[in-house]
Amino acid sequence: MDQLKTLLWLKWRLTIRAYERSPMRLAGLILVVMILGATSVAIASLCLTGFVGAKPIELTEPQATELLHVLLLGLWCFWLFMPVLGFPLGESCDITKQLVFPIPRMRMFIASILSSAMGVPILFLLPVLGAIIIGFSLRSDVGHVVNTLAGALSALVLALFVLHILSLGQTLLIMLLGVLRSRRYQDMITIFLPFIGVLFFLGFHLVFRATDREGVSIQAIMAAEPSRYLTYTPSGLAAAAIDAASYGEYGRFALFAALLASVTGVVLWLGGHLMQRVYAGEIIDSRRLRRPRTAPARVAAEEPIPRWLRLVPPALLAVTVKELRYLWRDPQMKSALLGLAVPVLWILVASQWRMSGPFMPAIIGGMFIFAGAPLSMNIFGYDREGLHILFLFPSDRRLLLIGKNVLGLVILIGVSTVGVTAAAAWLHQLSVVPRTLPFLVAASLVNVAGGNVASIYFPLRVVARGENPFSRSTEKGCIIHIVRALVFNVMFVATLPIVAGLLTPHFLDLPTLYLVTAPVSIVYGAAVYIIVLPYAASALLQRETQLIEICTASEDV
Amino acid sequence: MAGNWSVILNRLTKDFDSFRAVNDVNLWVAEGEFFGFLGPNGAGKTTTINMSVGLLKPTYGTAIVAGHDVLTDPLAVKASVGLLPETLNLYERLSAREFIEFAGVMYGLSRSESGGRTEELLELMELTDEADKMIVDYSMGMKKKTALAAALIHDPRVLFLDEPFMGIDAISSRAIRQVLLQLKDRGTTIFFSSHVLEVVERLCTRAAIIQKGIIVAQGTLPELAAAAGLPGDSALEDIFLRLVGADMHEESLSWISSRPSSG
Repeated sequence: MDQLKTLLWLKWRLTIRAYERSPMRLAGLILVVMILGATSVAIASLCLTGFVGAKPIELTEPQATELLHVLLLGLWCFWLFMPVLGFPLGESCDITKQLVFPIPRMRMFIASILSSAMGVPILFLLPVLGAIIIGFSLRSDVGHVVNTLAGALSALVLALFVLHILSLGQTLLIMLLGVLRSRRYQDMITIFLPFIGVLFFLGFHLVFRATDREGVSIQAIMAAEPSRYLTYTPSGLAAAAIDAASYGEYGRFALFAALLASVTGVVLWLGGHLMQRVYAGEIIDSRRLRRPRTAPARVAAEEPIPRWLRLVPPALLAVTVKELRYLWRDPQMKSALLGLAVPVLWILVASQWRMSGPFMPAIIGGMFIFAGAPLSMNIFGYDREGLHILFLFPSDRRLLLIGKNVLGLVILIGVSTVGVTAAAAWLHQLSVVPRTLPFLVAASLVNVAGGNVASIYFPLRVVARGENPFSRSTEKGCIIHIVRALVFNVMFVATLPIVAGLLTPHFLDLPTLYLVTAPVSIVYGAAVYIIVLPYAASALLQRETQLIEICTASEDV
Repeated sequence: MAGNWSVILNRLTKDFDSFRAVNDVNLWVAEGEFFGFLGPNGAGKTTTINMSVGLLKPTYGTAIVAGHDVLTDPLAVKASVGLLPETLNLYERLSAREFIEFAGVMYGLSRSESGGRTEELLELMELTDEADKMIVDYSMGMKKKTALAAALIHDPRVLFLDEPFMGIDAISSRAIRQVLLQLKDRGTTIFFSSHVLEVVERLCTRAAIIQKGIIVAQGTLPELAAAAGLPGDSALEDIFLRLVGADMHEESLSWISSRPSSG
């Protein structure tokens, strides 16, 4: 019993330690609890009105049962995958750290189930479960059975359902332990979660548009009777049992509750069996699963190099190639690139609001350029611990900056060009693309020049998922973010001459003037970059030690 | 006289907020010398090395390495030194071959020269078979050998090694020792920080011992023994323990000392 208590203490200790050491994180947690708590209460309230047939949803009783099926399925899916997705974040999820101690396997499994119920997310489950109990008790008040009995039976089934989803989540976690501990999974999840966020963002918008256009309503979804397909799933068994209890059909209730209990028993048995395999070292050996990614084998000295590239200083080429390789291989950089998807939403919004005009593609292109600011304004942050070695090299610091800027320019110009073309095609204004592109190149040069200054004077440490984020720099993060926002505004002001070059020919109704303003804008952008470069290189040399201190986690003495 | 010294640390001091990690360190390492730098965990060894190579700004004091002041001429210092850090800060998403070659070019070698030396280093470090695997998938020992290869590729005048043998198997360790001795014979200055006292005893001509950021003694082995008040032929371990004050108290665990012996 002491071991079980100690394991639960461990979970509690590891959970609150993160917040004890960082007031900023604690503030973030309070904010998350407030927002998600309010969302959870709102969803629960909405469901409750649906269960009792009140406004605004006004569902009939069969429709309320359908809603219950969908709701429990949603909870089932969420809790099934949440431990797996959250695995890299918390060391408390990694039971392999407990394997060195003589803890019986079932005790360890039970502790993992109980400790998964101790996290913050369980708080968001409670309002919804409360709404189901209240809703199906009140509904039965219409005339079937005593409502308190229906409520008690619903609570019993929901307790079983919660045990089922927690044990299933932990079983899946144990089953996938080998994969979850692998570097490839950690990489994949780093990209996957922001990707899901972007997809959700865009998907929500598209669904909203579709329902707006097609008149799809929640009543229509419920009319499709999802329970026909869901009844014999675990969530469907729970929903069917609650539904039966609300009608006073105790035989049907007992049948579905017993089936759910059996499924839960099987899951618990499976979890215990897998835990035994973990004990035997059969699951956690990720090397069997891992196929290390290898670069193509070659002998460097024999690889030909294009003649024009021989004119490029070797150090500049080396940094550029390294940056491109990192862009391809580093999940953190790929994850940051997903931020460039935000302007895509603007294309959708612009088309929905019928926004048009000759400058709409240019505006969207500009958005792509400034959406790349997290990359261009923190060019050393993504090197993280590698900065020690980068700054150990005696290379000319201008070459370091240019090497990194080549990547920034490729991304900004490439993405904004694609974005402008897509926006122009969507808005049926393809003719404006050729005249817009030179201005985007010029704006990218200004952005990169400003980004160098921001990267040197106001760097940010890039914290990987699951990494301990505590450092001196993160405590100063708020001020740095404000200052970086100011730098961002200065960069925006510096692009105003380029904007003027784009607007003037249109307002003067002199299209031929573009032949002057376009090259002048590029010269302006290049001049800004060239003027800033030596200053930035000199500042970099002076501030390398501070950059290492801020951007890396090393605290060796 | 200064021309004969590869490393001169003059009143080097580093504060982290209110914590003084390195306190007024004065050290001289002669050209071609194999210099041991010893101290318990947290004594300030890594901080001293990082300040010496320009990766950490001293709060006070100067470091002159290979004739260049690290504060006023950091690039010249960096061109002259190689560093094997204790915490391996590598570009782990590159393969060992890519990384070592990258380091060579960044140290000013031509691409072809860097490529050639990379192959030799991979061979020496027995990394050739795994050379195209990303470093992130390497074992600690393989990472250490990759870092050492990158530190050696430009034939540095001064080599700073921070715990070079930690996490390395006996075969690689022997190969690395031989490389270090070759480098010493060629006149490379080696600043060698390690916990493995027998290696320091065997390889180093002089050593310094740092504790709580302060140099408590430096010199040849007999000089260190004298500073510790021990005979000149004392083992380095005894000298080290005496100088850091660890031999004063006999440590034991109550539940072990109270257990009756099985014999």
